[in-house]
Amino acid sequence: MKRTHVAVWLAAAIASVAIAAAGAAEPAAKNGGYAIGDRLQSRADRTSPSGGGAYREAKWEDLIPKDWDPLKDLRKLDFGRLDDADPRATLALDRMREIWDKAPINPALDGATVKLPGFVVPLEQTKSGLREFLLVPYFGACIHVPPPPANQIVHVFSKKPIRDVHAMTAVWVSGTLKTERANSTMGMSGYRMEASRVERYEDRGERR
Amino acid sequence: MRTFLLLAARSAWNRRFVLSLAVLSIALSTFLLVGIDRIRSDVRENFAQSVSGTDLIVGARTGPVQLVLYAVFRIGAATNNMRWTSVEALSADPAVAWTVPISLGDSHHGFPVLGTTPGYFEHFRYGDRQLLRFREGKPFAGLFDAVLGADVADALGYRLGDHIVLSHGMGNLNLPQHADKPFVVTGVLARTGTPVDRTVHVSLEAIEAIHLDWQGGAPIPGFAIPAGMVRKFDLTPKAVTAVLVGLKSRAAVFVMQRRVAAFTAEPLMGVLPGVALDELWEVIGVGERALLVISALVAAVSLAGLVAVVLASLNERRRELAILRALGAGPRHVLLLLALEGTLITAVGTALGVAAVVAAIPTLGPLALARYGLALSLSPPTPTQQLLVAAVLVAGWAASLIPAYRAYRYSLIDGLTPRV
Amino acid sequence: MVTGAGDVSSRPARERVLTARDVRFRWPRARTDCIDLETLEVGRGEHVFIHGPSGCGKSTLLSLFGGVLVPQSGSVRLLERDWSALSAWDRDAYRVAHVGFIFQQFNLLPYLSVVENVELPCRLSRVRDANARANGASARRQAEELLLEMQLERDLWPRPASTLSVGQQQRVAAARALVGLPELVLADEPTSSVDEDRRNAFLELLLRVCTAAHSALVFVSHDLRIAGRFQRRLELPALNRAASREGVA
Repeated sequence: MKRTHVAVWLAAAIASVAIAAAGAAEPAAKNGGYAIGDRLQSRADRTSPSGGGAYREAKWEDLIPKDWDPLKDLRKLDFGRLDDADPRATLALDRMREIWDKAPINPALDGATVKLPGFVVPLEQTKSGLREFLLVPYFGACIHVPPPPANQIVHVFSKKPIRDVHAMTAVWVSGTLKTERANSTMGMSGYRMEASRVERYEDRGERR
Repeated sequence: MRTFLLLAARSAWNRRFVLSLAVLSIALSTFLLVGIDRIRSDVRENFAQSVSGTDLIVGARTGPVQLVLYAVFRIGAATNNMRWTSVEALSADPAVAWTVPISLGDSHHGFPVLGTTPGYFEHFRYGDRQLLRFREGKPFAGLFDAVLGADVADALGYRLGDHIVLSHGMGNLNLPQHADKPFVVTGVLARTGTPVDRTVHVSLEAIEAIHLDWQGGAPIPGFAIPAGMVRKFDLTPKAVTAVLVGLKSRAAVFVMQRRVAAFTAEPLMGVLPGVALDELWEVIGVGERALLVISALVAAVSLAGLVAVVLASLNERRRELAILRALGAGPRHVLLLLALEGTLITAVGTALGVAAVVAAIPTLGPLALARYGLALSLSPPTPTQQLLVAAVLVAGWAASLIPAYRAYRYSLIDGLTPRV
Repeated sequence: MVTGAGDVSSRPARERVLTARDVRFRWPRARTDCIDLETLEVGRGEHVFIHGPSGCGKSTLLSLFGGVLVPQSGSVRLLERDWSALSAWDRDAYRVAHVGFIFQQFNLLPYLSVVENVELPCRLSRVRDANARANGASARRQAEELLLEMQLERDLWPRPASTLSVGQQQRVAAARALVGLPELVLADEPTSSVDEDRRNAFLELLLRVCTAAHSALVFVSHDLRIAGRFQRRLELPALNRAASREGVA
């Protein structure tokens, strides 16, 4: 019975205890620690750009065409002077929503390979994982807050099913953007993406 | 090394009656840990693949999870229905591609009855965007036609052309029957592994027809409309339980959801099935974690029992350890030997526990399927389950170090002549 | 009482199995020495009887000879290697390679069979295993031969060791001590729990087998009646200067 055998046995056992402990310690924060309305910071914002490989890191603002001004018609209204219960306020809000529904897309992004951070709204869950989902810019977009305008939602398809991703999980999605023009009856245009990679969003300290 | 394994194994086998209780309790705790996780992962798999391709489920404004559970899984009860006029308004919306209204409430020998339109067989998908397929027959054409899910046909032995009678309400008690209006089986669906298998499908008009002469859950005495006469009445449903909605553009789901919520004629809500299910898992997750903690405690208790048993027998074994020392085993080897013994016993216990899970699934599986619609699978262990088993093994090894250390001290002190 | 401590260098080096010089040993919390030995030498194939009443340190002496205990000063050399020069690991390996032990009782591992008990030293030491194979096809063969020499029949061999009588167990212990032909056999009162009629028979067998294996035998006991069979007889209280100092018998 050699000395080395015992040493190897002890080392293997200690290593396995360490691994088991690490594996069992899952992140305990509910919702990943996000609050409703939180947005994720794209690395394109930071001063020191980190290598994104072939994918350019995009910001959600890029998806909005520069000439779109949703408040154009409503600037005449002085919201500060309106009561909350004033019917004009409700109408203005409804009008606002209509404008958001018809929000135009940025045609320059058609075919762009980008990497975008966002939150998941699952559409198609299968046995092997998530295949289709909507990517939205802020947390809670399907629960209590008004949903984002049409040009701030990306309909993502993933050929490879993604595991362990649920509603409101924060992820980085890399893929090719495609724009879809609206037909007049429907009135909605939007972005699609064939995702080549979906990974969890790690740094928690970056929030706006 | 092999010699020490042999010594450890033989020594443990020699004391097998005393150790068997420790082995059994370790086996039980492993069975709990692995079994609970298997149920957990199977339930999630089952639920995940029960609905696909449906963008919104619209119903009366109750709770999102409640609506999905009832409409898709037939679990629970609807607190309110939605009016047919709302269904029509929904179908007319330009963003909507298709609607499939569904109506629940009746049952047949414990299997739920679903009233729906023929569109159900065209649009309803499950799993990975799979459409329903017919094993035999076709969708309902006549008023009193019924299409059975695979489990219904198999459990009750129905074939095409058989007549069945529906009962009013769900549950196993003596329910009032719609005996005067029997249905004929015109189709049997292929197995899907979803709640569809346990459902009897009929047309919405038929549901309306069988309740024509009923009021408040019972037939109106002295007022019966025979089956032949029902077609004279307007059989458009007045209310349905929920509507499955498919949109032309899936990204428009939020818009649609808001429109449904803002619907002025009656309080409605639209639910994204995926999101509602994830919400359900979060709620259940608390209970699951509690169960896991309890199982881990059971494991800890059984390992403590093992340690106690081995420690208690150490005193008698001091002579044995002295013999080993004489034969060239140092105190370190004695420590290794005792640790090996404890690990071997833990390994036997965990193997028994895993075997028990494997044996329980085919045995209890059919029961779970019949009672709860839960399909337990005999698939290979998931990474979580492997981790759980490994954790028990490692914990057993670590726990065995306690008596092993004691033995180490004994053999240091005793040398060749223990003071027994 | 006939004594014969043996001359300091009466034999050439290769003939010396055990050499003890100025060995002083005391237990960890004792204030005085338990063993204080000036010199003792055992040659190859020699049979030495050490007599002493209970409590005078016979077992301690054997532990020192076998390298289980290490003296505070002085040296105990087995085959010209000083026990104190070896690390604890190496002492254990050296011990099983060159020394066979027979205790007063409970010699065998109860959960192994008779023949497995006998061949155990060969499984724990490659040296001893090699010796056994050099003298017969395998350790098991030699174990079986020794069992036959100790007059233990074939049908006893696969039985668990705990099912044998005390006398049979002692004979198995002797066979185990000699498998692999260790140079030294240390026996700590092996006949004390055997009844009288078997005692002589056991001794006969033991001495015969030791001679055949050319192994040195150091046999301690309080029973003077068996001393006559040994070439050399020593009195421990006389040898042990610590005993005379304390006046302890």
